[in-house]
Amino acid sequence: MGNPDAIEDKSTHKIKMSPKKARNLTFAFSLLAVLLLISSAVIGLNAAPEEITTFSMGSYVQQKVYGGDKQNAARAAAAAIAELENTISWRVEGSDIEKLALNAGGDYLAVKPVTYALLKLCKDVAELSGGAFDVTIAPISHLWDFDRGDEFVPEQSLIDELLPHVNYENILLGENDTAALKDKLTSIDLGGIGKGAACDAAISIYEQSSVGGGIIAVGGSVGVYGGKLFGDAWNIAIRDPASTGTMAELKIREGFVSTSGNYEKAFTKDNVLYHHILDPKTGYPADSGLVSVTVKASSGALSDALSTASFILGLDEAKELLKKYDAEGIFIDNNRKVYVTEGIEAKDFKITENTYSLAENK
Amino acid sequence: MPELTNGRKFISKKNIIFFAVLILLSAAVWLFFIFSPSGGTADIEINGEPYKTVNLPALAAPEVLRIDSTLTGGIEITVTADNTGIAVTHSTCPDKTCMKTGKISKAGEAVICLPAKLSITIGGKSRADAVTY
Repeated sequence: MGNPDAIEDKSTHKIKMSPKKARNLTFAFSLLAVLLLISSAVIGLNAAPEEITTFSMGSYVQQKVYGGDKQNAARAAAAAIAELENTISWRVEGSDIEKLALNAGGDYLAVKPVTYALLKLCKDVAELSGGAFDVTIAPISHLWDFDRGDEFVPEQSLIDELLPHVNYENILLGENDTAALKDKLTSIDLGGIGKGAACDAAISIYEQSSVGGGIIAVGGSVGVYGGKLFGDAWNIAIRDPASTGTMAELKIREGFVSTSGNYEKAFTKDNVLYHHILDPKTGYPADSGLVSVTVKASSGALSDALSTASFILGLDEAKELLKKYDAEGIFIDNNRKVYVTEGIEAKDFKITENTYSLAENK
Repeated sequence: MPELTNGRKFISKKNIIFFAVLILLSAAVWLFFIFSPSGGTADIEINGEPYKTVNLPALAAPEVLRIDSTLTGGIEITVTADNTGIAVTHSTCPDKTCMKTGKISKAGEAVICLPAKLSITIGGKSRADAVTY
């Protein structure tokens, strides 16, 4: 040690110094220790995330927000999601989507900017997926009504009657946030992207506030912002299609994750599995050999739309679609094989349920 | 602080150990707040509000809970818990998804009855921040 006052006495293992200095040093150490204790308790209390759960869009909305004004940010996000629902849900009287349906076949209507942006996104994904994703499936999805839970399989003749009105080109987008539906019998259901759009709304609130990080899950759609307490990546578990548990974990630092699977809102009748992801080409549940697709994308609405489109398209075409959006995918086929796109690094993806195995990348 | 320095001109090893213990203690307090464990408890919430917390490992015999139907919009729900898990065993809701979920026991698992806005989640240290489905 360079300090001449503190010379180590090897025989006693004590450090020599003047009594005054020793007293001061002891006092300083004690003060430091007490301050450390108090501050650690305060920091510890502050470090716990604000966790709130609300209900919107027919699902459970879970938020975990760290740092800054986390409480107000979480509340504001919950309110923004409720407002979004009132704007884009076909079930809500006076919503933009209800107005469009009531006015189908008529003139352009003014809609909110968020509605316009979502319709534009839906049309874009519909075009690039060759119509695999199509929000004008509404008349047929309302006929099946998987939410009702009564295991109803509509007759082919009814579906055939409605299919000609399912066409994303019937959505007309005008100037200055106006839109219309070309066909009198066309209607829109944004249910397929509503949860992701809700994640977008929450994350944009986190961005505008002073919080350090946050995660939002609306049903099974997830969005993240910033980092956790130590800047760790967020851990997203992927539901096991065959059980109520999970089968893999994906680490992400930014972006949005959504999953489409054949286990949700499904029923089996006469040995046939009917699930809620309808193929707009047939009006019946899609059957592409995939049981679940998880997509990571730059927005929640986009990850929702792409996971649905991917599920309907099947593995090969889905990979091509995801490339166009710079999105990543995790696909599970009906042989419990898992396919992962190149942009997902091996260290960020782990299968936790050993009945699934990673397929060799082609 | 004469008792700490013993009136001598030295800081002894003892004092250093004393400070080390204090510092370790504050670190422990800090870690406790960050990773406060709550393993094995089932949290029942209605409309996002806490309703009841059941400590599953402490249950010697199965416990049957009848949920107050004035909070669930008239839907009658019976929850059965024992030291191996918790499940919705009866519900008058239309879709019965909550009953089909069956018994849950692992940290992070949940039973949800949307019509009744009821959720049961198992607390404890789950490694995942969210589940995508």
